[in-house]
Amino acid sequence: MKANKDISYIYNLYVDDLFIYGTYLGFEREVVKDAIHDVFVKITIDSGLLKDVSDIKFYLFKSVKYRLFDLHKKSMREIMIDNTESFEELPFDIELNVEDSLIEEEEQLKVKNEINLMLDSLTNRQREIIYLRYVQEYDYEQISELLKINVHSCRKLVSKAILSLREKFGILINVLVLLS
Amino acid sequence: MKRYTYFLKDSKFIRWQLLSDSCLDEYWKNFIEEHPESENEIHEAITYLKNKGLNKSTLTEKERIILFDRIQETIRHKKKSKLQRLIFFSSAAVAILIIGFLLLYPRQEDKIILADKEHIMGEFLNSEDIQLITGEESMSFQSDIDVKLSEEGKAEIVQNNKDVQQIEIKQDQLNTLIVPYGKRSTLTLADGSKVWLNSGSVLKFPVHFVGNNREISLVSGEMYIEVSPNKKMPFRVLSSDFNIKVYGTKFNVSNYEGSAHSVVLVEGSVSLQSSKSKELFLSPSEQAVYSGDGRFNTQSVNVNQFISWKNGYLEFNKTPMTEVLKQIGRYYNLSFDFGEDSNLQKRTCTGKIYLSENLDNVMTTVSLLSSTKYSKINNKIFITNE
Repeated sequence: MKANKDISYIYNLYVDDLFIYGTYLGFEREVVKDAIHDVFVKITIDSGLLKDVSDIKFYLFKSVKYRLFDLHKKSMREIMIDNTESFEELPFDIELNVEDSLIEEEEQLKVKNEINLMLDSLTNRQREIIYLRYVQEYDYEQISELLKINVHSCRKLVSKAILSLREKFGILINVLVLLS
Repeated sequence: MKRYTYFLKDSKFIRWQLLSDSCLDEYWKNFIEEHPESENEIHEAITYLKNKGLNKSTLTEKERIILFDRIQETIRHKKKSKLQRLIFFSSAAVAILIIGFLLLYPRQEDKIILADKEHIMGEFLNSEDIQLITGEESMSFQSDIDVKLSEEGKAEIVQNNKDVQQIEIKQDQLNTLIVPYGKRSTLTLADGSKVWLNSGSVLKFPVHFVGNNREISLVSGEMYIEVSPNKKMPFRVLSSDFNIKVYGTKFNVSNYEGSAHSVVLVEGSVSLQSSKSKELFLSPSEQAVYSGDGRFNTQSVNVNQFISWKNGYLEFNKTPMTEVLKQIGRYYNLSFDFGEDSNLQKRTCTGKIYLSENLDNVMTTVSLLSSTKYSKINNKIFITNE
């Protein structure tokens, strides 16, 4: 009962984040909307679902991702027989937004280039972890659940990412620091 | 002073943000200590990166609303079939649920949010019954009715689309249909003309038309009418300020106290006459607004905006918030207290609002269309800035 009343509140609060996450995972806009639709219908009809959920946003992230993956598998089956059960093959492309009337276009480009260069040097899963950790502020346990990997591998992916960024972008900075 | 974009171009800053290690933490801690003047810009850069930069939704407002409507629609369908199963449940179970709900509902956090914000407050009013007064008799109905008169002086009343009732009506007296706020009704007159009565309306009508004229009178409120053509018997609508002469047509009359009185012609031809004006002919898609001094101002309008209520939705185009809430208030029998915040009142609303039975859906749509925030505490509605 309570979930019904709050559904529009929850929807308005999280629909943008869920939509972004879905599109970053490489799904078409309409497919992401379908998944969001299915999840919200499910949690409203089956009001018991949210009863023991402590973190609704995380629950929704997980539900939408799993739903997207189901839809993905369904469409894959139509094209070829592919039995991969993991999320590994999914892309993760962060769309960087620098639209700000206060920043000149040239400056916007520079900012965009700098961050994209860095993100591009990472793997899909590393980018996804960064997004979930930095923007959504999930902890390692939650992230590993979303990626269907164990916490240890999750931490390993992060330290690898730190290392590779340090290797590619760190040295130059250190030189600059020495000079200044 | 450095602007926040300065930091967004610094790979060391980005690394620190996205994938920090102790080395970078140390570096930026020192940096802020040495450059306290940059602290604001650093925070600005962080906020920008986290919220806008890496997390900018491309879902448009329209898509967001359509998706929500779709969700609601599916839920409604599923609920219907579920409901049929639920009917077998004992009423005790339902009662427990309701009590549980009442105990759970007034959430503390909402109260805190609202404590000292500017807001518009809405309150539910006592619900009144629809009344049909025929001669000395009066019948009341708790939900919307459809009345159909026949030439033989009989009336068929359908309540809730299912409970049918037949009554005889005495011939020579005028009858009155009173539709309070929060209710709607339709009335098919003896000649086949059909009237949709909006919330808060009073209509007087004869059981059948005699003589050379067909005449009904909209004492107050709003109606949409589709008049059956009959050249021998002209149709007239009397309203508080003016009379409308009809030549086989479809049009909407709004005669609410506290709002401008107006007529919108959908199809055909009508003429208006107040005590002080000469006969004014309206063309389709034209609106005549009665000004207090007995004259009319005419303008062409998007007809749908004025008659959509009869099809269960309201359509707005840069309509002031106050007008939007007035209409919704009538429909759901709510009274809105606009407070003193002129900013909230200045907002406008553009788009369609479906008048579903669930007021929450309606108010959520209103808040989306007007970029405000809506919450409901106990039986009160609060609208605040986003």
